[in-house]
Amino acid sequence: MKPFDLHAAIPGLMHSGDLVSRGLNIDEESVQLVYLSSLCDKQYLQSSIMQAFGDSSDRADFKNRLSLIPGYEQVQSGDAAVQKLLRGYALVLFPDAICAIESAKASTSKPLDATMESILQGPQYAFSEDIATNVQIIRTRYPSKELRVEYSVIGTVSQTSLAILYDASKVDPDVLLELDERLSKIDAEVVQASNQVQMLLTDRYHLLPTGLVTDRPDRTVLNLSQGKVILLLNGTPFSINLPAVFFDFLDSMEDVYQYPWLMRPLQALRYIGACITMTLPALYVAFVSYNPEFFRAQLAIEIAGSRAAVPYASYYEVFLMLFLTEALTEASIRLPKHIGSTATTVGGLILGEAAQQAGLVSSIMIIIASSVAISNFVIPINTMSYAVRVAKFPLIILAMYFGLVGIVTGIFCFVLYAASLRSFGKPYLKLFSGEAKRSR
Amino acid sequence: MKRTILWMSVGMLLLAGLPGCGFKDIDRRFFVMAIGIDKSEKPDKPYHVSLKMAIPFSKIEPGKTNTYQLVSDDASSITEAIRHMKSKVDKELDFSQAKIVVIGKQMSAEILQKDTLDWFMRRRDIQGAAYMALGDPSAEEVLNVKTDSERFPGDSLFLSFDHDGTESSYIVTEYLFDFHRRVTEKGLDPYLPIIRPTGNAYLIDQVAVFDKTKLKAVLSPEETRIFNKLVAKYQKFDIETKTDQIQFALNVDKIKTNYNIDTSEDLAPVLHLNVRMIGQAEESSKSFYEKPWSYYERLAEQGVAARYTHLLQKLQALNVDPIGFGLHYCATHHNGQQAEWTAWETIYPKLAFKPNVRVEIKSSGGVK
Repeated sequence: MKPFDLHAAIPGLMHSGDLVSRGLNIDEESVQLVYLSSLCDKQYLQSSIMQAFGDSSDRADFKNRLSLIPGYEQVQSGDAAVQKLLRGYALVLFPDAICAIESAKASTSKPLDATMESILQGPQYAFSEDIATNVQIIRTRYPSKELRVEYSVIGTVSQTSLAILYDASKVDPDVLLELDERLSKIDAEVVQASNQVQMLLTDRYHLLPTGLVTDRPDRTVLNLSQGKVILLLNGTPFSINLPAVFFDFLDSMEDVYQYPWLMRPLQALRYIGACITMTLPALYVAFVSYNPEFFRAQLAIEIAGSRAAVPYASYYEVFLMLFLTEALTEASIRLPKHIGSTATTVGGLILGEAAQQAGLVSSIMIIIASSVAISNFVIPINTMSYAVRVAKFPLIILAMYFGLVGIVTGIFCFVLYAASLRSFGKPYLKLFSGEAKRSR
Repeated sequence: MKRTILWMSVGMLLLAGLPGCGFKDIDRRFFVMAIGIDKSEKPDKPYHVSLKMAIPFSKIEPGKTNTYQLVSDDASSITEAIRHMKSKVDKELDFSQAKIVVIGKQMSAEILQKDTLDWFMRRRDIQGAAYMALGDPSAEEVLNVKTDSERFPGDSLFLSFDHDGTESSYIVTEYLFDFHRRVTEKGLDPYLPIIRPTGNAYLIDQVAVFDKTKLKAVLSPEETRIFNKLVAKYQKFDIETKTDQIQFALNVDKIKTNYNIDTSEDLAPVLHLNVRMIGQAEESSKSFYEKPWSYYERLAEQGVAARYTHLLQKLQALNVDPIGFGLHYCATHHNGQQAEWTAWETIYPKLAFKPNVRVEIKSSGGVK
């Protein structure tokens, strides 16, 4: 009896430490069972393959019994077999064929708490990190026969699985076509995050995001019902919603759940917040250093008085305070949660007050710095909040050189740029992207 | 590519140290709160310009933070004076908060010459909505007053004129743009409120009326109130009525005025002035609870009509027209080749005034 040629059957995997290879003998005939112990469920192997093996009288009988097990496939030797092994299949090698039986461990991934976009009254759980669970979540929340799920892989090395979901009756076929085209062009080696996929799908150097990344299943389902395409990436608890226009990024899910009289003013507050966080530091520089006639007389005298202790030009204090607040924001994201709160206390309370008393910044600058930071946090979607954080700096530089005229020009250019963007064919500044009334 | 971007960003960083050319921080500016123009004694330097400049404070407290610096200079023109004054102060002069221009009484004829006002209209940082007033005895003395209630220098004057603070029917407000218009417009003559300093406060209860070349007269406080109604469409008023039987005062909070000029009879042109006032009783020697009040209304009407006629006749006698009857006439009687203006010049001296006042008492002003 000749041994099986594992080299030929599964090239390259022979030296893996977790590869289990066992010969099974029936009478004089033998088969070889191969699996990766780290991926496969041993209990399941026992109850399916071993059970079938025990009951079989000869090799052909065993093969027949195997073919009855769910998740059975016949594969070619070589790369195809290797791929199956790497996905948690167990291979049974017959002299003339290779049978693959799906026996991956059940996912231990559970839905996480929705932390990225908290809302008060509404669904509280987010996606999990496992694609199958996520597809299941969406299927449960959107039990429509029109819901299509297509699987694909992304990343030449990571081979991360990617699910594309859409409502076939509502989706714009042009978006699907463009998505297919762009997906086929991606040649990144390792893809691990939804934001990364979103970036790869769009232009790398865009300032504003054109795909909406969310961890909320309810937002995802709402977008599905509005005819958008959803991408789910294995290993991340986020979905990518395409196409997405500017106004989607300033919507919270609570806007859909509450009475319009309550939510419209809050929505307005968010837009005002976005404007403030972008323009306020630049406006401060322009008004203090170029156009003090903007202020009322009393305010002008007060600002002049509070700036009297500051020996540097206005934009130095703006940059100093913005550096402090941006560094604080960054630190509180990166630091472990327990130290994070200490950092904000130290930074926010002590540095802000002390900087003013030391005469490095004026007292009005403290108010501006904090209102810029707070207004930034009212933007519900994180990627947009990042974009707006960045956009204020060019405005400050314009204000430094050209005053109010510079800011107006800067905002004009920003609007021009945003209007020139397209998200999968949809104009980025389009107000109402034709969503059906029934979806809210 | 990457190297270019690197060098460009280094360049940008270096540029960050250099601001633009209009750049001047707010604490490097001296805010001029009020401008005063007087006549100096020197014949070659007729303009005595004073500037009231605010000293900045980080925390405003009434009566404490209204410290100012008053700088004056004599020169042959306002521009010259300002230019020389810049050498007397340590910061850049900023006129963007200069909300009041006070003209000395001696200077009142000169200010009507177009080139004097020109300086104010041309400077981009002086607002057209700045207030104008006449300082009696001089602008400098008005500027040199420090009232105890002020939060910052000039605050008292601003509050008096913008009706944001006190709402007095004696205070007539005049704006720079409006004064400039009146100086040039045919059929609409300029006027200025008069500010009189009284120790550490002001008294503003008179108005000076001008023709196109000089100050013609100063109206009494009582005339000023009627003037305020007619010219500035001021809505607050009170009517004192006194007869042998009754004395009462009405507080009027709504006044509607319109007029038309009737020239159907060439020799006796008539101006019909319709005034409708709505108010409530404020003070009375008799109880006032029951309607009808028509008797009191008629009594009040007679008094008001007499006061209107008195003022209109006085302005007519002075041959000034701050209310703009002439402009109204020219606008409604177009006759080509400016013939309407010559027509008006003959009409105005013989114009008869027929005020038709209607007073309505809204309530007795008391609860029984």
